[in-house]
Amino acid sequence: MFPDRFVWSVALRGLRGSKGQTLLSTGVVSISVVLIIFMGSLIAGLQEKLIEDVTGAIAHIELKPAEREPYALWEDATPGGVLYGGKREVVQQRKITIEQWRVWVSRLEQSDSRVVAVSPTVQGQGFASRGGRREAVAIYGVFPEVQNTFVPIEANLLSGRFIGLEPAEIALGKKLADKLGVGNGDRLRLVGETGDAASYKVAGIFETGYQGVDDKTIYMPLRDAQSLLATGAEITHIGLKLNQLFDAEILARRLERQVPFESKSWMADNQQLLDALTAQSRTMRLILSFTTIAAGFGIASILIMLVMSKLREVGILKAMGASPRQILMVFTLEGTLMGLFGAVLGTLLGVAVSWVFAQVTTSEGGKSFPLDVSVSIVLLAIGVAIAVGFGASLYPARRASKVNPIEVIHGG
Amino acid sequence: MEDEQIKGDGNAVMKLSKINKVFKNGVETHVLHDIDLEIGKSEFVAIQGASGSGKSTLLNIVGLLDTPTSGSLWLGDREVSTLNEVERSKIRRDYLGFIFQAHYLLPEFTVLENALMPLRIRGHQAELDERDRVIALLKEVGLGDRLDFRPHALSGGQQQRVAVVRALANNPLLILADEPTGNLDQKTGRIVFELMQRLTRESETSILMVSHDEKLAEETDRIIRMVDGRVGESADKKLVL
Repeated sequence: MFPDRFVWSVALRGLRGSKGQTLLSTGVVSISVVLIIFMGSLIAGLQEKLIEDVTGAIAHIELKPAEREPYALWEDATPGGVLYGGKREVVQQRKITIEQWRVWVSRLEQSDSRVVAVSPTVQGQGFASRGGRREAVAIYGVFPEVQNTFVPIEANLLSGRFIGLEPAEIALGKKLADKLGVGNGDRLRLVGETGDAASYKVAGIFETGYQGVDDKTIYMPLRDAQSLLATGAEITHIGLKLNQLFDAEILARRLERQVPFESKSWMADNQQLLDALTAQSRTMRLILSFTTIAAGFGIASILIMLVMSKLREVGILKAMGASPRQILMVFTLEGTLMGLFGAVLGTLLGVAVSWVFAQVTTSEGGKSFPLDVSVSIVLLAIGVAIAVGFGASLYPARRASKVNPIEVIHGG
Repeated sequence: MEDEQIKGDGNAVMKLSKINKVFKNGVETHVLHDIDLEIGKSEFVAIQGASGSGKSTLLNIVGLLDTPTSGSLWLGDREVSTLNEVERSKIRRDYLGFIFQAHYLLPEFTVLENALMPLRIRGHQAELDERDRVIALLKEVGLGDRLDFRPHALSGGQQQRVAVVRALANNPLLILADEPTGNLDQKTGRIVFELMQRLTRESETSILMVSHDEKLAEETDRIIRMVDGRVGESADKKLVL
């Protein structure tokens, strides 16, 4: 079943003896491999950057109270089981809050292995003012050390602190601070949506790179926000961070049946983006498939030329007793090796080209080509190249194995 | 078991009985008619005949490169006319040798590797076992200092001598030679012919050779003359002598 010494030697010498054809087919395959690695890495990098931009500063799933129809226990057959059963209740209009949130946070932390962090928050709108300046802001009451796992604020502090915010202290983005003309240690007056107001000390200024966060968000300890936004001892939102980003929607749908809150994933909010990414991936796969097919035809035609130029040698080998299977293996091995050589060369070139492009920066210091060269894309490219070499060799190899020694030796 | 059956205990290496060959390419062409033939052990037989007389077709059938339309073919005590392609490949590999008008050496391999090729096809162990014998044969034909040369670096006569050694590499029962001196000048042709004579005699191998060269044919043990697909005349010079 495996190539014997005869097959290996004839295949390797054949490739060495036909240097031009070997180099040509290696070149054809390596171009495919370079394209797969470069395009694949570029698309993966772009998509990762887009997803990171979208999800980097938000909870992957957000739970908030909602008027809802309780779910009958017996209707649920999903894994994980039911965490809630209750009766229909209409909450009157006021700031709708989550009661007993500590219990829910604890339960949610243990509800699924994909949940890596749970952050209780109080969210509301308000105004910040200092001197004559006034800006609409989003007020977030948080546990800073927990919230920091959702939005990387501590690592992006320009001054002051975030983790360890004291009562009556706030942290805000640089852009907002610039607009309000405040610096670390200055005081800022905030008015909540219920009209309550208080003065806070700026204890931290950050620049995360997420516009929505840097532009208008003010973080403060949870208790301060509860007071400013008049939620009592309750909270308004529970955010969940997952280790499997794209499981968010499935988990959100499941949680909706397990907890008495409205459950929304980042995916539901960004369906258009996800559709665009899917379309982009499909287009890329299509382009790479056609490239691969073209490479396959390239190798096949080169191998057919090789077989035609070696008909007499194949004939004499068969006359000497080489079996059709051995001849078949000689040429499939040649095709596979062409694919392998192309894979090696293409991988080196592809990784090098990707590395060079990854060094190109924009005028703002960002990456022009956010390439993400992963082991999986390299392995995929190598696998495809070898498979193409093998697949493309089957037809020429079959032709060679059927050569009639009489016709090629005696010339008909 | 198979080996014993093929080597047999009789005098005939190859036996043909009522062999017919009909080609059907739109029209039927009856190329061989009821050929009966025996080739003895260590016998050197020449086939002669006009072009189209069927001698190459006969050589192909005896060499198991082609199958007869009817009749039976025996290698030793084993009938081989009914074997499939894979089985015929094995018989060719283990018991037959070929020399063609052109040497057909593989250009990417050295002289020694070309000579060892039938053994390499059989397997690595066979190549190892017979390597020294093949080197000795190459030395005997004056190519001892050319073992690592590529075929293109040799003269036409040297190339054909490698082809003769290659045909003997697997210690065959029978060598099929189709105009082995046809591409060589008279002097070189004679050297190659004498080499075939000597080496086959020493190795107890039989030869069936198609040749137009009357002088060379006269020096074989027997001449079979083909006329229109029939064995027209068989002259056993051993008996005459």
